[in-house]
Formats: sequence, structure tokens, C-alpha cells
Amino acid sequence: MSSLDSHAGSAPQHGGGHHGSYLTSKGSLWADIANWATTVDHKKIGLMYLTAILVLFFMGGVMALVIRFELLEPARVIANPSGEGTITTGQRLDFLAGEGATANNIYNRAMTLHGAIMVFMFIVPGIPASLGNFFLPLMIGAKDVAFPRLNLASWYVYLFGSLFALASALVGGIDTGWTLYTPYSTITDADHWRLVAMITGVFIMGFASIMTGLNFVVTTHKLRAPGMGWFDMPLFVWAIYATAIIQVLATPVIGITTLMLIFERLFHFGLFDPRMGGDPVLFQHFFWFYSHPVVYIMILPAFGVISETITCHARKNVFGYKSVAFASLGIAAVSFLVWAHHMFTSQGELTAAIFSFLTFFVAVPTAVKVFNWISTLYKGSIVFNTPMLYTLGFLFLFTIGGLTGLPLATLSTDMHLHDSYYVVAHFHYVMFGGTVIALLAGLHHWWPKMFGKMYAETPAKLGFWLVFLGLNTTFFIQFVMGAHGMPRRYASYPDEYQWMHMVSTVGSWMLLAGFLTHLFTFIHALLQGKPCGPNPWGGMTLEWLADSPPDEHNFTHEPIVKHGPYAYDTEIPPHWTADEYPLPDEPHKH
Amino acid sequence: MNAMNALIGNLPALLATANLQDRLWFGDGAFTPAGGQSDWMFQFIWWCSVVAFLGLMILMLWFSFRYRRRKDKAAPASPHHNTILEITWTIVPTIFFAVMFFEGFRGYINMSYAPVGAIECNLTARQWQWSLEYPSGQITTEFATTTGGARAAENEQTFSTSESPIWYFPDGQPVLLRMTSVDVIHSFWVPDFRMKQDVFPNRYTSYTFTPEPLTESARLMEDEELGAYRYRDHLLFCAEYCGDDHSEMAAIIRIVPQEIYEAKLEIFGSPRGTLAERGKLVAQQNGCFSCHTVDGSSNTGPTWQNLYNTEHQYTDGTTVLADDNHIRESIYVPGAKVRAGFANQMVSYQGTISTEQLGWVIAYMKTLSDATPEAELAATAVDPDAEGGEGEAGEGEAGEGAGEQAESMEGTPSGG
Repeated sequence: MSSLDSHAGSAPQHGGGHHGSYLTSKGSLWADIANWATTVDHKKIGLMYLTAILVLFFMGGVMALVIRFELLEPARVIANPSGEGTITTGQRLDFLAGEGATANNIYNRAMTLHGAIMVFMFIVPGIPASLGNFFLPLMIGAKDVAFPRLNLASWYVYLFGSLFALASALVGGIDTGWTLYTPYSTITDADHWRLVAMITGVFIMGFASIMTGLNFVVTTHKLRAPGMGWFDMPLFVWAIYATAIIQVLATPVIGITTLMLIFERLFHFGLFDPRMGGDPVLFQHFFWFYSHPVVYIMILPAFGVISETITCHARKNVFGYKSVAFASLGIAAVSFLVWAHHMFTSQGELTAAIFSFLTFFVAVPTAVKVFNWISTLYKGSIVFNTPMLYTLGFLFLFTIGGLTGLPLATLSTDMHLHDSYYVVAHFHYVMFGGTVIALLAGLHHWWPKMFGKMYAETPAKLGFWLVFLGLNTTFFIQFVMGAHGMPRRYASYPDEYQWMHMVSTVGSWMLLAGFLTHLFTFIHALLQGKPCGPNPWGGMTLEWLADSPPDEHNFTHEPIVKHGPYAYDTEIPPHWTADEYPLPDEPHKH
Repeated sequence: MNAMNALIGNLPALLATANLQDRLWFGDGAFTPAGGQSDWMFQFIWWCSVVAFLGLMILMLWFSFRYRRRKDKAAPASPHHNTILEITWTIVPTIFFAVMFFEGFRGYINMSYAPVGAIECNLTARQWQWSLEYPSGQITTEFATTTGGARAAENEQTFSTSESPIWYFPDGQPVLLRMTSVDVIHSFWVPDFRMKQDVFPNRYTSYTFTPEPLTESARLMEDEELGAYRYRDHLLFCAEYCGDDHSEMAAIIRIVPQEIYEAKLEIFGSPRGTLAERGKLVAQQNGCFSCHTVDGSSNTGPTWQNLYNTEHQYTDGTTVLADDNHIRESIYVPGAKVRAGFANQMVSYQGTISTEQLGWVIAYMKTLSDATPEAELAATAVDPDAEGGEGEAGEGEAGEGAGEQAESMEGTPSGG
């Protein structure tokens, strides 16, 4: 018996209430633009964030394709100064380079922009600002976030910051690597103002992150629906909450660090300049003190999404709810203590030993989560739709990403693998195989809720297989390449690595095909998707009580929570029959 | 068909090769004992991971198949948690992680410390070139193009290339590099040695390796002057991004027999004297001896006799070991630590004594100290031929290397 009912005790009405869906037009195009530009509705802000991060993901992806294209051949085909005979990629990419830029210079810029866009503009705001913004209030039964205006401000701050960064990229970009290591980033002259602009952009975007985090912490504490205790919260909410805590605590550090870097460049403070008594390694400590916790800002929300999709599509209460929830908090806490494991080759033995030890601590709760998810499948009722395929794909890829991190935490093996392609492969399995795959799982899972229309399963599944196989083709070979001795951030390399680079590049084209397929399914779903009703998956969390797309004020009646979020396996929910909520691989009957 | 038969015929032999896995993962076995330890560690973690991964994936796929959705059927009830199971799967990985941590740390210490009597060279990194000075003062005169690839040569593409130096070292002999950079951060990585160390503009770090002895499988060099000899090349990469030509910043470490190494040093010549001799000259030119003595007597400043690698009291009450980085600080930032009993009146030599010259001065100061491992070894040695206190490689120590390295943790500490 489902006790998850609306206040009035009746099932939510389709299209009920007098407000209408949040997507309802205000009449004219201008009215709509004005409405969206000034909206304080978390759903609209979430959608705008989603659009922005997908556009930026596309831009970062183009940079990745440029990198992989350049690495097809060991010689620097990207710019042939004599320019005879071959059409070199350098000529095609001239617009990226300034006067007298060399081939390596173009590659180094593409590599830097790929990293900077993907990290600072796509994956850090990523799931929390898009899906988190949209679903956190819905899942706790709230009308909106605690500070709706702050939410809008965060969106504009993010937009403003990314304009700085994109302006820097469009007029030539920078070649420091996204890690901006000093003293290279403080003494390189070629990109002076572009560097200042990029760093300023990162500084500004940090505030957006803090605002969002603050908002989510307060929302989670104060706006839960009547009856929802801490352990009645969906695990996505737990994950976003843990993320928000890291955002609030860690992001000020990158603000301070970027500010110091700007001052160093503009006024020659000498903080990181050895010629003035500064220490370049100090920058690495500051940088990673933020940039390691930020890894968990990227991955914790992904854990949250997977906890939702796996329970819903396997119709099982998550195995070990409390340990998954506490693992999120545990990871958030330990994430502050492991930053120097990015610097094993730049510090003394004792520091390295301490941070190697602490790093293994973060591995334990992460492993526990994977065990919990797989146990959740036990005795479930598992359907292989796109969200579930992405969920299983996540478990496959993230497990590889996690296990291949072990030789990097181990000191003697890291001495060899550090700054090689092995590391590149490892963090792409975690960030791409983890966060991006979870974002795709979440997008398909919640797409019907966000737009009230169902995507087409078959092309979406095709997209999944292309992305999944492309990802493995692109990155698995890079583990081997790195162990063979291929260093990171190399525009050119000895011949022996070429066949591996070619395999990897072919994989990047498969990924392109996969993402274009998804782009097609999403556009198709928006234009011609079939209406899906409020709860096509038979989900038990509160967002499925709202209409699809939700009413402007989310719920027509304030929901009251009488049991935990995943009461799937007690019995068939009363209104969940094959007629009303068809299996996704069957044609829709309504 | 023949090739196929040959392959099948050779398969057992191929599988029996102990380092088949090494070849799959690393292209080849490691060429230092410490590197071999690191590979063993990697294989241990790899096989633990393979077992864990396969176990998890088989479970996942089996659950997915066994409990696939059937129409109108709710999932059967099952427990929501199981404390014993959850505690077990928390503790078991923790034990494995603990093993990995301790073994990894042990291997790392073995990689970081040089055995006593290593050939001690100064290495300077700059955008985008490595330069190395042998202890007897020579600099290599041989260079090669290592990156850019054969394909580039075929296409006759012209691009700026930095030539990579070739450095000769004798097989089986430990080498210790005192490294610093004159501009940005670089990183010294020889994949064949499984070790890398960052190189900084504001401090010394060190890198050590003991190349395995040459075997029959090593390549043969036909040299007009020196005759035929076996050699082995190891590529050095810069592993910390350092700007435009980061990917061309390479060098070749060529391992040759001892006599070829000596002959090569002879050919390279040393018009400027050994590092220590040059260091003495730099000290004389900069007037160091107006305040510092080398015979143990006190002057305006502390004596340099027995200063290197010994501990001293400072005015702030601390005791500090006078290692490479402390000497660097004392010459560049003299006021940072003032020896007890002396006034703070030395001026900074930053900008006057270059980073390279400073390395020579340190090599010189080392010859004045009895506290170096080499000097201690010489003092206790029965062999009257052993070189005393020169801080240079004893000629007779070209040993097996393998066992030595693990046991010599009291050797010269890595700057790290």
C-alpha cells in the first residue's frame, strides 16, 4: 500500500491547479524572454544551467576532438611551417593561434581549453546546478529553494564568469594547462591578458558555486515536506547536500588562490616567484586544496543520481541506505585531507607517505557504495531502459576508474604513473565514466518529468552503446600507453606510441557519434515526444507526485511523507499496473 | 601459416616468460632493481583489481539477467541491509589497502635513496633542455633527435627541434643527480626506471637509479675509435608541463660498460676542472674565504670544514642539517638561519652566484666534509686504495647494485 500521497489523500491531478506548467508560454516571445531572464523558479534556473553546461560540454568536446586529431601522428602535422603538399591541421586551426604561434602552441591551447572548460564551466556546476536545482526542491516536497533570488543571482554570476573565460578562449586562449601551475603561469608573457581574463572568470564562477551550495544546504535543512526526516530523504538529496557542504567550504580557497595569481601577474607580488623568495609549490598546495575536494563536487552528485536510477528501475529499496548516505558525508569530510596526493613527485617522503595513507581512506567508502548498488539489484525487477543501461554502464566504468586509482595512491607505482597517460585514462574513467554517464542516466530518467514528454528508447539505447564503447576504446588503451611511458600534455611523441594513439582517436569519433545520437533523441523528444503522464517509471520519490512537466509551484497540494523514498519492494503500488504505467519498451497506451 | 605455427610453437615459451605481463603493461621490464619492485607492486594491485572487478561485474550481470522485469510482478522482498555483510566488505578492502600502502611506501623509499658511492652529477633544467655535468666536470658532446618521429623525417617536414643530449653511464653503478631548474618546474622521468621527480627553480631535488648490468641481448655499437661494445638506451622525458616545446624536452641515458664510460668522459674532456675545483674557484672569485675558512678555524663566518651534511645550532635555538637545500638557503637568503655564535652580516649572493655555480660550490663543500657517507666508508675501509672523502664514485664499487640499493637507506637523502 502506497502511503506516499498528497495532502488531500487523492492522486495528483493531471494538469491540475490554475497555474499551469512551468513551461507554459506567457503569450509573446518577449514576455517569455523577460519571464525566463528574471525568473526565480528553480526549475527554470535549473533548465538554463542545463542548457549552458551542455553547450559548454559541446565546446570542451570539440577541443577534445582537436587534441585527439592532432595526436593521430607523432610528427607535428598540426602546423607545417612550409605548408606544402599536406593540408595540415595547423592551417585549419590558425584562428586559434596568434602571431608566430607554433604547432605545439596550438596543441597546448586546445589541451588547456579542453581542461578549463570541462572542469570549471561544465562539470563543477554540472549535476548540482542543473538536475540538483531542478529536483532537490521537488524531491523534498518544497515549492522552491530556500533563497530563490540568490539562485537567480548564482546563474547570472556563473554566466558573467564564463563570459570572461570564453572571451579569453575566443581571442586565442591560454597554454598553461588548466592546473595553472606557477611559475609557468606567472612568468609566461605571451598570454598576459588572456590569462588574467581566464583566471578572473574562474574567480567569479566560484561565487556562483558558493551561492548554489549555500542555497542547497539551507533548503535541505529547512524546507523538507512534513514527515520527511533526515533518513527519509532520497539519496540524491543526501549527495547534493554533501556536495553543497564541500562547495561552501572549499570554493573560497580557489577564490583566494586565483586572486593571488591575478595579483602575482598584475603587480608581481612574488608569492610564488622563487626570484622574489616565493615558492611555486605553495601554489600547488593552494590549488589542490580546492581542486581535490572539487573532484567530489563532481562525483558525489553522480553517486546520488545512480542511487535514484538503480532503485527506481530495479524496483528495490537501496541496499544499506544509511551506509550510502554516511559514505557521502564521509567522502566529503576525507576529501579535504588528501589534496597532496596530486604532488607525490614534488615533495618530501614524509608528506608523501601521510597523503598516500589518507588517500586509501577515501577509497573505502567509495568501494562500499559500489557494493551497495550492486546488492540493490539482488531480487529486483530490472528493466533495461536507457537510464538503467547508463546506470549499469556507470557501475562498470566507475569501478574501473576507482580500481585504477589504487596504483596512483600507492607511492612506488605512482612514481612511474604520475603525469602519464595512465592518469589521463584514470580520471576520464572517473569523470567521464562516472559523472557524465550519471548525468546521462539522470537526464533520461528525469526527462519525462522535466518536459512531460518521453524520449524514444531505441535511438537512445543506440546512443548509449556508442558512448559506452567509444569511451572504452578512447580511454582503456591510455592506461597501457601511460604505463609504457607516454607523458601527458605532449604535442608530439616517439613513434612506438602511435598505434595506441590511433585507437584512442577512433574511440573519440565513436563518442562524437554517440553524443550526436543523444542530441537527436533529445530534440526529437522535445518536438515529437509522446506525453508520458506524471509517473512513467512508477517512481516512489516525491518528484513523481508532481505533474509532468511540474506545475509552476511544483505541487498542487503539499505532500506529506509517510515512508522512506524507496518502498518499491513491499508490493506492487496500487496505481502501478501495466496499463497505466506501461513497461518502457512497449508502445504507450493512453 | 609458418608464422602461425611459429607463434603457436613459441606460445608456451612466451607464456612462461616471467615478465610477459610486464611487457604487456610496460613494453618491457624495468631496468633498475627499484623499478622492478614497483612493477611487482603494480602487478599485485592489478590482479587484486581484476579479481574484484570480475567478481562485481559477474554479480551485476547475473542479477540483471536473473531478476529482469516480468510483467505485473513486484520484486520479491529481500533484506534492506545486512550488518555482517556490510562490515565484511568494509574491512576486507581496508586490509588490502593497508598492504598496498605499506608495500608502496617501502618501494618508494628504496627508489628515493641513493646507495653510498653513487656517481654524483649536477643536473640543470631549462625551457627546453636538460644539461648534466659529470662529477669530473665534463659535459656531453653527443646529441640526438629523439622525438618528432621517423615519420616526420620521411615527410621531410621541417620543424624546430631541440636536440637531446646523450649521457653515458656505466652499467650496474648507482647514479645520483642533484637537480635544479633555472626557470619553471620540470620533471625528470625515465620510464624504464619507473621513477620521476619534479625539478624546481628554488630548491634541489635528487634522482637516483642503479641501471641493471648489460646482458647479451643489449644492442651492439660499432665504434671506430672504441671498438664494438654493448649499450642500452633509456629515454628521459620532461613530465611536468613547461610550455611550447615541453614534448621535445628529452634526453637519452646510454648505459655502457665501465671502460666505455671512462673512455667517453675522456673524449668529452674537461677544460674547466671537476665540479669541486670549479666550486672552489667560484668561492675564491666571490670572496667567500674572507669570512669562511676550510681548515676548521673560526672566522667572521663558520668554517666550511665538516660543514656539509652535519647538524648545527642556530641562533633561533633550532638544529638544522646542512644539506644541499640548507646551503642554498644560507647563500641566497643568509638571514633565514644564522649559526649560533655568529652575527647576521652576510649579504645575499642571489643573482651573483648562479644556480649552476651554486651546485659546484656544494660539490666543493662536500669534499671538505668527513660527514658524507663516502668519507665515512673510506675512513672505515680496509682497502688502502679507496678514495677518501672526494665524494666521487669509488672505481671498485661497480657492484651488482641489486641488493645494495635496498640496504643503503642511510645514503645521501633525496631533496624531495
